[in-house]
Amino acid sequence: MRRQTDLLLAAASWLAGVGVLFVVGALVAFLASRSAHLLSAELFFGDVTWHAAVFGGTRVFEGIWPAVAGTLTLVVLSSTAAIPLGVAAGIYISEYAGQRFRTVVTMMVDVLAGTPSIIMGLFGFSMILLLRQTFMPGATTGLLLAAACLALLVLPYMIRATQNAIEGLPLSLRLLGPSLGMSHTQAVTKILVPSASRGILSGAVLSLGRAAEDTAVIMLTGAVATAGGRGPQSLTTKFEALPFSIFVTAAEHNTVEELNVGFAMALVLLVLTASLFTGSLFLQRSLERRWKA
Amino acid sequence: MESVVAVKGLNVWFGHAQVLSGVDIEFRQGELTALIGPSGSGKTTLLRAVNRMNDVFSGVRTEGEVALSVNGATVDAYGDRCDVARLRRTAGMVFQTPNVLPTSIRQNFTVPLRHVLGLKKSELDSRIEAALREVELWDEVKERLGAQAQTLSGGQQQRLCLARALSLEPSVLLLDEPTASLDFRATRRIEHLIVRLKESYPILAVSHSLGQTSRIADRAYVLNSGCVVETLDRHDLREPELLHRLAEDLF
Ligand SMILES: Nc1ncnc2c1ncn2[C@@H]1O[C@H](COP(=O)(O)OP(=O)(O)O)[C@@H](O)[C@H]1O
Ligand SMILES: [Mg+2]
Repeated sequence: MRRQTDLLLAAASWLAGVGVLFVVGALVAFLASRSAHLLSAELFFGDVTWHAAVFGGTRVFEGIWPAVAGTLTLVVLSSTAAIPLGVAAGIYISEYAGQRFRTVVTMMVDVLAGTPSIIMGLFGFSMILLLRQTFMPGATTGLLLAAACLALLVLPYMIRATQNAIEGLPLSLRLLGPSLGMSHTQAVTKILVPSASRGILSGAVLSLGRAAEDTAVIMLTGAVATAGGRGPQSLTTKFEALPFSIFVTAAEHNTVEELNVGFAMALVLLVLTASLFTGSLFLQRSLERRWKA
Repeated sequence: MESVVAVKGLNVWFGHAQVLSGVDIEFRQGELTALIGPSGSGKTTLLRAVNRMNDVFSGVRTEGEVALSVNGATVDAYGDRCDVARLRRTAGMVFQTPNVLPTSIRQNFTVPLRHVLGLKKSELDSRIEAALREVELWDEVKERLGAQAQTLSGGQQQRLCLARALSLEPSVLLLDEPTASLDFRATRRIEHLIVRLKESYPILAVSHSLGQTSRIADRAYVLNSGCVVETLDRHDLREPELLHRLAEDLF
């Protein structure tokens, strides 16, 4: 009986693992089958050379480069704000906050994590309205606002991941620092946070992915279908971004080939997030290697 | 000058539960002092009261006096002027299960040496070597200081922890069942080391075995339900009948 349960459980886990592989594989295969013939420099830059588009500021009207540049900028901006802030908040909550404060803040973080992204977008949008009516009549939606709202969207994941990673460390590791005469802050920065870095990384990966794919936030805070054929030019301009362009393409395409461009953009977005994940993994592993060596 | 630690009228509560009641003990350089008693009797708590490690847990309350007299100067661990980080460095601690940092062997020393003692890079190597030699681990690991500490055997890890404590130049050693997780040979090796170290440091060691205590201790306090119920000197510890009775009563 016991043996059968074990076998069943093993089989179920195996199936689940294979299932995930299958779903992801099928997704990529489908996207590729619809867009493989489009994958070339032309997809990105149209008839402009990549060099002229990326460095020369030449406008690209026939390619997805502006959207790629927009998404990259958005992700970089929002993570630069959300990751350090989230890690710091997570450390504070798990290691410094008092019991009551921790309970309250943990609840707030949960509320924030449960907020639909459309609400976050509306929040950004209303903030601009408020600014316009008060002391910034010229305020308008744009890159910075979108990045800020995205940062707010991913902040709770970052806080939660950091907090869980640190609170999940074994008691023995927690006792080690103080037993050696380290101050609390030394123990936190030299032992606990480095030991928790893998858990923190998984929060960062989740945040990067969420910031890259979210559409609801950016469509209310500054994303547009065409932004003059260039990537973001300043923090206050409107911008193109892959998820929004995919959405627009899907909603408004006239021919199958136009829709195929949408699938190509989806594939590019997938590759882009995968590269960001890989990048952050390498960063974490190299930091960890330095700490462990 | 000889070093002595004296615990007087110690009471410890975890929340509402009183874990130690009116404990008076003393341990000094040149002697190995053992704490024995059934599990849950408060041995670990008593050990941790000496370097205030109980304070790491929330809801702990401690009353009483722990006086460390080192080189003629006396510090009260629970006095107002006690620097807790310094106290903990003064009282080197080894845990029941080997508590190595999940890093290289070298890093196990550099993290505390650099951040607690503020040593410079150039001072590290000789300090690490001296500590590892003191626990007879140097020859086993000198070729692979960069290897992960967790790849060492249990006994080696425990000696590493002892070396790490020694590298901080403590005045007192607190050992919590340091051989509980080790096999016979590794146990004997650590016992041998501890006996040698007692000449230099006052050592308080929790022991899980009466056999071990009678083998190496010079004095033992028997704890039961948070009270010291018996004090045994060297003579008592060689008395088979007394030990037999204790074993019946306590374990
Ligand atoms: N951190 C803690 N929080 C609450 N109770 C504790 C804690 N540590 C120990 N205790 C309690 O104190 C008593 C003595 O524990 P301990 O000192 O570990 O005993 P021993 O080392 O003799 O087995 C036990 O009843 C235990 O449950
Ligand atoms: Mg114990």
